[in-house]
Amino acid sequence: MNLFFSSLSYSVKQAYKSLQQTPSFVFSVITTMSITLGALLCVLTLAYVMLFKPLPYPDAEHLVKVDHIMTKKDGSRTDPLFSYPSMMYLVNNQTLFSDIALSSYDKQILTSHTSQPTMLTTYVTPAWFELFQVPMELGRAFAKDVDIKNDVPEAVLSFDTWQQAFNNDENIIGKTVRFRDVSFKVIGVSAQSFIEPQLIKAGYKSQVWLTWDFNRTSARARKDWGSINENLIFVAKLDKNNSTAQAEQQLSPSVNAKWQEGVASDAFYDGWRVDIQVSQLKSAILSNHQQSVLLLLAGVFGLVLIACSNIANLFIARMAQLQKTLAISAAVGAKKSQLFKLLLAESSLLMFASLMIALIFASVGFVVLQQNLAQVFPRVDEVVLSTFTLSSAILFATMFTLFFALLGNKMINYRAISQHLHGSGKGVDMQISKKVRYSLIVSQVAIASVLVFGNLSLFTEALKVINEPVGVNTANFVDIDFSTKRRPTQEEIDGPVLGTAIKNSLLALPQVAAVSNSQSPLSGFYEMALTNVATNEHMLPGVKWIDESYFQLIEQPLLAGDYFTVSDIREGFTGPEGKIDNMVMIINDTLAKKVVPQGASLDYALGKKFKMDERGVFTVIGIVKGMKMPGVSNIPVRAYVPSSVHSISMTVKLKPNQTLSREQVITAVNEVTSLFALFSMKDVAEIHQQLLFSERATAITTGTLALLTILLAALGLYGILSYSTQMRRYEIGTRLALGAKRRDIVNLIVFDNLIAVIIGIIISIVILIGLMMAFNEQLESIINVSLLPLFLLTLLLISGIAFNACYLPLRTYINKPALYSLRGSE
Amino acid sequence: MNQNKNNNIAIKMSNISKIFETQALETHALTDINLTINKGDYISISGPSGCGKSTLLSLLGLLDMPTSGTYFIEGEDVSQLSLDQAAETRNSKIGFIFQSFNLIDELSVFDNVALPLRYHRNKPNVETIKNRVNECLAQVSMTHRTSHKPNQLSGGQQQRIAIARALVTNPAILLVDEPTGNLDSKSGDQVMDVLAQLNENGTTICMVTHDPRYADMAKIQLKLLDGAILTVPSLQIAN
Repeated sequence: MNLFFSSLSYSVKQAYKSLQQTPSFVFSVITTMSITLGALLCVLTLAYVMLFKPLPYPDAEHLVKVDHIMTKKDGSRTDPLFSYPSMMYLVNNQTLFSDIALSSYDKQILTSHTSQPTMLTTYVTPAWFELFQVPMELGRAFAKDVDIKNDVPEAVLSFDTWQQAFNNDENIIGKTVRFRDVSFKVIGVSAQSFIEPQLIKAGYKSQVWLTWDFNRTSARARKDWGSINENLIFVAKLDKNNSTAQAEQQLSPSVNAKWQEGVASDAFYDGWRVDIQVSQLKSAILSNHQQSVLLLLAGVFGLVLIACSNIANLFIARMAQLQKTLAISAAVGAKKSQLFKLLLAESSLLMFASLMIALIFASVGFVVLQQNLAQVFPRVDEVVLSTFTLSSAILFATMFTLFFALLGNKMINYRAISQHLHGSGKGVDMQISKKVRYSLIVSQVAIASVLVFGNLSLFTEALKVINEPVGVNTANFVDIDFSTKRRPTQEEIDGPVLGTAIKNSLLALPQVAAVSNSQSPLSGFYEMALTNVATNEHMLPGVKWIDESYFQLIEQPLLAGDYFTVSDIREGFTGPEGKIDNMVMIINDTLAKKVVPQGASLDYALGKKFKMDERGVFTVIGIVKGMKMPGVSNIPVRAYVPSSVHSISMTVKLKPNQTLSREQVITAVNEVTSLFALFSMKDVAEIHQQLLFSERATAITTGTLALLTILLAALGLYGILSYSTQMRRYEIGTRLALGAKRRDIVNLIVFDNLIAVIIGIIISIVILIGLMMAFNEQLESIINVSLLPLFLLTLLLISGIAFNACYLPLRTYINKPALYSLRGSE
Repeated sequence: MNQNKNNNIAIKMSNISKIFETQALETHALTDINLTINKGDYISISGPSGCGKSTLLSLLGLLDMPTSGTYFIEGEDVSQLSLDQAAETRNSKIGFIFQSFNLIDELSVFDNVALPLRYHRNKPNVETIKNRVNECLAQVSMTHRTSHKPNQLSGGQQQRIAIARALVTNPAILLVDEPTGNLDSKSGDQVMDVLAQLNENGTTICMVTHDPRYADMAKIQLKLLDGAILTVPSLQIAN
């Protein structure tokens, strides 16, 4: 054993000394390997967490997400969203789930706090904390055994909230926090280690959990079976004896029957059906993110292939360099296995060093993922340097070590070694066979072309979406929303209109150019059921409440009819009071086209009447050109109706080069009233950027991968071609001596490698066609004719790299007198 | 008369020097070489290792450029040529024969011999190339192996192919570098016979060798020591 270790340490020492002699080789191998291994470990860990790692909650395999799916008359389905009564009916009329955790996600101002921050508040049922076994930093969680209708207002703060908003106050338990006019007693603080299940969307982190029964579903919505709510989430623990399919079969009929009863009075839902969908919580959280992580994984494996091929080149060149040392070692009696041990030691040292740096890169990668892609990939909080990362790191490093040592060993021509010593050294220099060189070039070109093209197509697709014009002016706009701090006093209800007063107060600010009493164009639309009065046809357009100046302010073009006027703006607080059948509406051209018979002008839609539930009947007075929301490829049907004078959603247009601070807005509002707090304030440009987040993430990821691929491919092609040129040095010298001009030599090398490059390109085309056929459905949206120039660009890029990789190593030989190439051959 | 005499000169070097500079070190490889080779001459250059033989041969063959001095081949000044001009002159005026043959392994014997013609300024047509190559192979008695690859031949045969290649463009001079260095004595003798035969038929030859036995086969023997020509006895005779 002792002998083994001393022999091992001898090999390692020898290898270390030998590597010290070739710093550029060491640098190239370690750089390439550590970057690649780092990226691989990072993406592999992400994929493992997302696809395989059990959720970090007890009995995770029995946790399910329950969804409520409505199927329309035409067979199309709505998003899987619950209506409040359906959810409560299911809670009270089921026997399959042992624990049920409901949550209602919300955003509110913490009015009891001096700086009045807006917080992500989540109303949860008592079992929620039990189901996810939330560890507590302070105090306790909600009591599990109380009724779901428990009306004791209690709050649990998240660790971050406790730190940031309450300064780690050790005495926080028992104090109260106030949202709107409800005071909640703080009963606990969750521990920092708690990983919240990302039920509503990736990267969502609740700041405060509140008692379920105080959730802000309106009294009307609590009884309205047709009103679906995207903020309601139903998670439960399924009985061990039941499968998800059994649960669906058992629950759907009763919920559907009850729902049909609930909506019987509304003709809109004629022919609709409700189904309950039960899915594993893990897959529900993963939802449609699987494809992106698999794509990322494929991209990284491509990088690994390129890197391996690069390092293989370097090792082959290194073997040529080592020939003499090996020959002398062999001459003094080194056996084949001993030479292999030396190679293995070298390869191990290099991979070990790469591995250490790769782990650092991977850790940096985890932080980058968590900070930038938390909203793209769910569960990135769980992506840390884990046993999985370390074991796959060791596995890959061992694999690479063996691979490169074996490759090096295969490259040693033991017969040539003995000749090396016997002969004068002429003509027995180790040469890599042409076949090996060619296959290295072919593989480099093929992999690089596929990867570069794949990444470039995703990149340009994302870029196209990012740069797509919205169709309205969004420059210099700020979207401002207020929220009530408390119930208004009678005096305030009877007094002057506060919406108008706030608007005027904002208008008085020197940097403000205009104010519209509407949400900004990018702040979204509300889906509302609309019925065409003449045809009784139902539709679900996005509806926005706007004032008379909205369209002119954002420069959204009017195609027919008129804009709203001041007299159209509603005067009441909630209902339209007295004008119920005499209200006006402006629709976009997409909606107008649904109403207008084919061939007729859009004007045909003017005067048409639409009923919007109990809000009343609206007459179309104008048609505007549709605007595209950033990141969305189509323009859906939309309708605009006049807002109320009481509306407290404002879009403020600033004068050029002016800014508006939160404090200035708060001051302006406080001059008018103490009823409102500033709920949110965002530059519309910022909203625009947020809406494009996933496209930007795609653009950055694919752009980086494309660049890395190009870099690695360039390094690899340069490596193999410069090696092969070096090997042909004497031939080049001979040709020069015989009168070949520089151009002749360049042509010779380029044409010689052209075949390999062309074969590589053909293989890449075959791979791409194969991929397109295999993933036809998923790729349908991005495959089109415009990809052809992109593919030509890719080929041009790869060919350009290949040409330079041919030419650059030649310069040493062809730009000096021929003697330099011949020297050493004599 | 003078004109006639100049026409008879294949190569004329005057005051040629070559200095190699490496970092802080200057090596005077050749100093003030004056050398004239007439058409039909057979010259050997010999001397101990490091005396500058190979450097001189490189300068003669335009494989490298002198630091100073003038150099004429068949009356044409070749002292200051660009890399491509030098290549063109090498192609048309100089035939090389190397110690290690320097045949290209991937090319057949025929293509190896034809190679200089393919780099020729006025590339001859296929028929001309074929005739010329066969003619040269005949001169070295190798016409029976035209489609073989070099590594299928013996060393002596390879060197004869290399000689045929050197002859193919009808050069002004054959520059021969240790032609027998990689050969056994029998093959070496055969190669030397071929060279002697060529010279008989009018080919100008300049050979570098350290083997006194072969040096003696040349009509004129130059001895080089520390970068300078030691003896030029025969040249005076030639003059």
